[in-house]
Amino acid sequence: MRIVIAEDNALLAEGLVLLLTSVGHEVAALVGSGPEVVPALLEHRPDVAVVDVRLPPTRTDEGLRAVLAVRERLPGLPVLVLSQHVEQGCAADLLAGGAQGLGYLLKDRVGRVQDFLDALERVAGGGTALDPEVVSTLLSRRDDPLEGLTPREREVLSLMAQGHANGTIAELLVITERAVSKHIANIFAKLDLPPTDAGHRRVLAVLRHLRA
Amino acid sequence: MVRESLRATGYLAVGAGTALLALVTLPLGPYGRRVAAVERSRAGRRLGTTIEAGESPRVLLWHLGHGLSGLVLGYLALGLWPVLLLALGLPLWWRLLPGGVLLSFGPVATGVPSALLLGLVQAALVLALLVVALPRLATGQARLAEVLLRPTARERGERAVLAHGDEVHRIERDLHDGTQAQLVAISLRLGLAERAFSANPAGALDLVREAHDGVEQALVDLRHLVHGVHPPVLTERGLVGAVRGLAARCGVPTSVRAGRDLDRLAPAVEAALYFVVAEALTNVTRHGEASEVCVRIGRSRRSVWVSVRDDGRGGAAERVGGGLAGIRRRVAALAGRTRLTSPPGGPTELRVVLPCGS
Repeated sequence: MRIVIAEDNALLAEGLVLLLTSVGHEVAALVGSGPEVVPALLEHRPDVAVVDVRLPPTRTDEGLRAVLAVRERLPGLPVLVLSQHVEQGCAADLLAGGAQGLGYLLKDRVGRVQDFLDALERVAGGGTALDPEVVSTLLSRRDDPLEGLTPREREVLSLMAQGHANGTIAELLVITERAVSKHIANIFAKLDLPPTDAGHRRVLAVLRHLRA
Repeated sequence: MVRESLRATGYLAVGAGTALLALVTLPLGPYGRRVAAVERSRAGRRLGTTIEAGESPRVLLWHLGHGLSGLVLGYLALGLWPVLLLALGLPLWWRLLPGGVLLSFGPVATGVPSALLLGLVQAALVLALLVVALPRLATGQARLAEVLLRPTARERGERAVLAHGDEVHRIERDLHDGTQAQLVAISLRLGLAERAFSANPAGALDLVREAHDGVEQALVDLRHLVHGVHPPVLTERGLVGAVRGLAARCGVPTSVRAGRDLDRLAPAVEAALYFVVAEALTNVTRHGEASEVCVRIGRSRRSVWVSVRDDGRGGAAERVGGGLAGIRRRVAALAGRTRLTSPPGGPTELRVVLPCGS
């Protein structure tokens, strides 16, 4: 895959380049400040972009704003946003434009190299990768409508909201895919959601329900 | 003595200039601000301190008060010197005026002896005014500027809150961009090493070594960061012990005199005082002309103060962005005051007063 990275911390940027090239990806561009992000993405049209929320010059949310701006011009451009901490407002801003090809992960996750690469693949393929912390905050905040769910169904819901496909959920929970489908059908029925199969639409439906 | 008078005359003469400008500019308007800034800096120099900029409506009082008094004082300072010369020359010119010369205090010179005598008496009086009154008037003018142009207690409080916020923000940024990012980079390398372990053990070993170096660097940086926030030595040995430690390491012989009740101060206050002493001692060593330094720390009911005084050549000035400016910021964040006195020839004293946080 061709990837554009926007990360100002030299140590981390170097590590990301090392990681991505070592598994055969191509880093088309590496930029270190907010104003460079949009031009770099428009020029290179990467398969996926990895963008840090905080970038110079202001080091507040330059990266996030650049992502929002570029997704307005190139809807669906896959972007994985990395952040030093996860925040609901930030997640809401990102998801407002659709969950397709969108990732929002804690920076800490890059240490779990395989999980990180999987998330990146998922986002590049038009899927969603939400940090478990974002999802668990959403789940814990709105416990009322989830009261009727069994613990297993909650686990499935959480993984689904993170953007995982049925197969992965089955692997992670060590159950069969059929069991996963059954859980999902139950969850959708209990939450009164219309059944849907496409990954990102499913995530959106779940998140919209949780935020409502 | 006469040099003091000349300096005071110069001060008051320039004061007449700023007085005129104060009368024709608007307080807190762009030109008014500039005039006030000039006055602050020259008053600060005269008083051996730095006057911060205040923005309160009291500035209006300064424009009026200094505008009127400054003109009169400038006229007086400049006018006294010719009077002195005229009085001393009285025996030479008293004849030029018909009917004798009426001196300011009544008697009339009618001959050479009386002209000589009266001239000397008048010169002595004028000289006394020049020597005794003029420097005091100049200092008084500077004090007026200090009192009316510096920030009010309320402004200082507001600024303290802002400065404190900046300080917290700086720490957060250091942790965020430094330590946390380093840990992520290390974690990433360990993750890569794990992947490479079976296929390429040598490559994995390199990555582990890099991660190890990264951990050591992160520890060094973290230690510096912690030191910058609250030096651990304060926790271990208390403020006085920590200051004695600084004194023992200083290149110039340094004595420490500490008062009572200094062991239960707020951590932020302790840290600020510690950094004041550290910075002052660094400066003393750097300029290298002092033969001894005295550090004194004491507290009253509501405040705690520290003074670092050396016997060097004096003339220390505060640079923008220098170490002392950092100290001033830190002290201001705790609503304290910093005062640097360093007349040419010395001694130099840095004095900081902080409200007690305990």
